Amino acid sequence: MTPERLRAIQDALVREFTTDCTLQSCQSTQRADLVYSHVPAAVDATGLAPLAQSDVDARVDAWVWPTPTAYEQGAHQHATAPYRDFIAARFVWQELAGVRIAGLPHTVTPTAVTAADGGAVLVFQPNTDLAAQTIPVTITLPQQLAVAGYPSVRRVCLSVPGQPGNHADLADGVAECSVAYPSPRDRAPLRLLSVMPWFQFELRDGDGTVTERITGDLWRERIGFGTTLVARWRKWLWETTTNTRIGQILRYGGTHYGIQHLGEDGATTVRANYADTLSASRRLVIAGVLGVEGGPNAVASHDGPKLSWGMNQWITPPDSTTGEFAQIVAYIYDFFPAAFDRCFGRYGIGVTFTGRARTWSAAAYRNVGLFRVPCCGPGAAPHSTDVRVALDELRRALGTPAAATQLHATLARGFRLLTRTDTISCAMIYLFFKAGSEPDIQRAQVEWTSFRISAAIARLQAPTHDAALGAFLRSLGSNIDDATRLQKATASINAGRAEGHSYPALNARFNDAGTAAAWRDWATRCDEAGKETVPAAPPAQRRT
Amino acid sequence: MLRVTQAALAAWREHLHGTYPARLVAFLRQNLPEHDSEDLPERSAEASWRAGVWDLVDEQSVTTYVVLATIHGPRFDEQPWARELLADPRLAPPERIRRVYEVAVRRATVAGTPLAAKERHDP
Repeated sequence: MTPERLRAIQDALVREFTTDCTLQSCQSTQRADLVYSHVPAAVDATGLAPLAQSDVDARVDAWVWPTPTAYEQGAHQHATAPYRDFIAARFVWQELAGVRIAGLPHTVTPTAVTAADGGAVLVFQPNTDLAAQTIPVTITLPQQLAVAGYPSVRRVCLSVPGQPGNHADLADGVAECSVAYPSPRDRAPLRLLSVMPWFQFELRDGDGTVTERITGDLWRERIGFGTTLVARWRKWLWETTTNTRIGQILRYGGTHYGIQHLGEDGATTVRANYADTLSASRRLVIAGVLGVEGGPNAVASHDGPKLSWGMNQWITPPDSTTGEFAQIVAYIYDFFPAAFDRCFGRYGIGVTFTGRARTWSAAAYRNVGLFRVPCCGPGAAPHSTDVRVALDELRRALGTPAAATQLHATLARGFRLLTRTDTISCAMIYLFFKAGSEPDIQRAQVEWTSFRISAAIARLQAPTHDAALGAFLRSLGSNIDDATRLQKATASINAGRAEGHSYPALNARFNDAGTAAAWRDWATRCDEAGKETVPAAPPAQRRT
Repeated sequence: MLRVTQAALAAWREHLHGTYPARLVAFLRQNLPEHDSEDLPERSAEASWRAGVWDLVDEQSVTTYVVLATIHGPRFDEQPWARELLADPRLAPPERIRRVYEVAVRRATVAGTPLAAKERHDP
């Protein structure tokens, strides 16, 4: 804009607008801010199904919307943007009712409580002056349902879409906090009030002495290859509210440092189970795999800028956001939804995929992706997802006759985990370590491993257990030499025998008698669970 | 001879006030057509409201504020070059926004010259 044009505009406005007329009514009309309170768990695709229609009335009728109704009916000034954002936000996060908001100056009622749709309307007196830079508000949370073994501390975030929020951490048993009201001078944006399950991490010496408290955004604080410095070498990572020791920071390649936990405790549990569904041959191979790769709760970030997790040390490969790490998480999401929600979903982690192959492979889920809905944004890399952008995309998707999966894919695209380094934050390391101790997650890992065993031995003629184990490990891309592999596998098998389990000899022929069909065959597993595959099951195998 | 009474003037002002939003939008469309869009009425109403936060209540001052918000973005008042003047208690509100506009003209004048960096935060 040239100075000449600015002068011309100035001349025009002086001609057309005087200083005599004032705009009293602009200031005398009440202002009302919309608030949406939520937990970070993403709305599940199945929950979106009745809403993903072109018929707006049907969408509105499917959920209750007391807050937009109150906003529509109020005598205050109305704005479209927060109203639309409120509707879109309900497709992103699960609403949280019963949150009390108090302490904002000049509100018509001193306290607002979020309704069944998670919303509240904050109505301000006429001529309200919110020009102060910082206005603290008091947030009181409803009682939360504790999840056994997990931290019960929480973090509150108050933000406007697209901006970094203001945060407060609540200790165990504390329900009230003070947070700065975001953009107090702006009446246009929706206010997002997020209540997240949170953590506390420390680094300690081997004798338990605390050397460092890890603070900040624990979804961005990474520990691993290429990130962690030598000062943290040999320290142990703890989640302090549950007194959980996660793993030790080890050195790799002389200059890299990261977490390693072999998951031996989880391996013991796996060896002790599944005799009623897996043949002795499969349990032998699995016992060997546990020794070579690790237990179901094994986590490692020291040997590469990614998390390696579980019985097969699943990873996200370089230059990719998919890989088998996403596949196994998709399997848990698909077949063990309650466990998924307990371990991941309530922390905002979600999964998207477009279909299941009929034949198992390490890419059985098509177009798979992991995502995490944050409390606010945009964030700095690697979490550069932007809440503003995601809400806009979702709003556009809502206006079209999209299928539920498309709507969910829009959500997933908006908050997709961008790189493999997203998996080595303190929060992710802890959640996957913790999940690996859950019985359903262990079962999911064993089932997935069993499908891989089936795929590996299918190419062999009358294999021995040793040959089956070797084929299995090569299918994982393991570059370990045969001697070392045999040594580690034998150690785990011997540990199982010492625990009282019986295994056939390594050089004996693989015998699958005793393996349940659904544990051996992926297609059967899908059919029995009523999950569609591509191509579809033959009519005789379809579950009606 | 036409006599303008106080009552007639008040009625006229009332009329003018009621039509201000539409006149403002028309003004913006005519003078800043590159910023026209479907949501221009909402953006201009939002900026008008925000002008009130800075005690700008007369049409000319509010329109000046809205023009600057349209050109420099709705949060231009948070930038130091604008905020320091808008918050200056020694000046009457209309004078504050007039000076902010002068700074905007000056910034446009020196843009692309070595003076731009030097004067960037100078109100």
